[in-house]
Amino acid sequence: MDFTNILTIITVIIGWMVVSKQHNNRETRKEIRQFLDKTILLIESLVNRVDACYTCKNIDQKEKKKQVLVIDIMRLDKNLSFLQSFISESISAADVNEAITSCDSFDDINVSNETSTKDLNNTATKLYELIDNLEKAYRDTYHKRKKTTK
Amino acid sequence: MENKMIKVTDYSKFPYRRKAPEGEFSGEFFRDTILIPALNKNDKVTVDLNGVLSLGSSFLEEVFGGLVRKGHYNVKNLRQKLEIDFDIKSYVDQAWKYAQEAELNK
Repeated sequence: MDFTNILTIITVIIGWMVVSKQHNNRETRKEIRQFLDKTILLIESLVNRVDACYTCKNIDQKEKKKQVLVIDIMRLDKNLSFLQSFISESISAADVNEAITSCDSFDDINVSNETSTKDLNNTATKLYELIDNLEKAYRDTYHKRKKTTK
Repeated sequence: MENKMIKVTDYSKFPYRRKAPEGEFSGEFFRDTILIPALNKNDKVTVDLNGVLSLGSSFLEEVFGGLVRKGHYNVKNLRQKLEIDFDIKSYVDQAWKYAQEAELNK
């Protein structure tokens, strides 16, 4: 086997490795995007369910709604923990958890409409801020990487 | 005097309530009947939150903020005696934040 043949084989192997690595990166990015989209859907669904919980006037029903909400907040936090391995910023749902569960509308069934509206506005703001932060972290991570590979 | 591990899932998988009248296993109940006696009897207590399926801020505030607010401990003593173990570190930070806020607001 002469030098040209060896060089050709080495070039093919290196080329295959580069293409394979780029393909893996693309697939990882797509999977993270899909997971991020699912997480954002979960956050958006929380806004409606927080509204239903805060305005519920039946004690038993409110208790059930509260329980489902706190389970979903934990799910959200677990999703965020997973995403942290792949995106540049450390993002948690601590503010969201506090906004949802540490207000009169969550604890008390006899809150005024004014209080529940105020609490809901505060919670919705935190939830949408979380979505914005996640989108920004994703862009910062993958757009920057894309630029460096060009 | 020894080290004591309290596994919260032995009592509830859904700790989120603040006060006892709100239902079973509230932060107030956990603090007063489980955590404070354990802190009084042991050199070191670890609260293991791993395995819970929900964790309300109200529960965390009532337990860890309440320990300081009710005058049982100050943050410095608490940090020497108490360890909080949980996979999601933001909850641990939040628990300590509540203790510190309770001390500042005393």
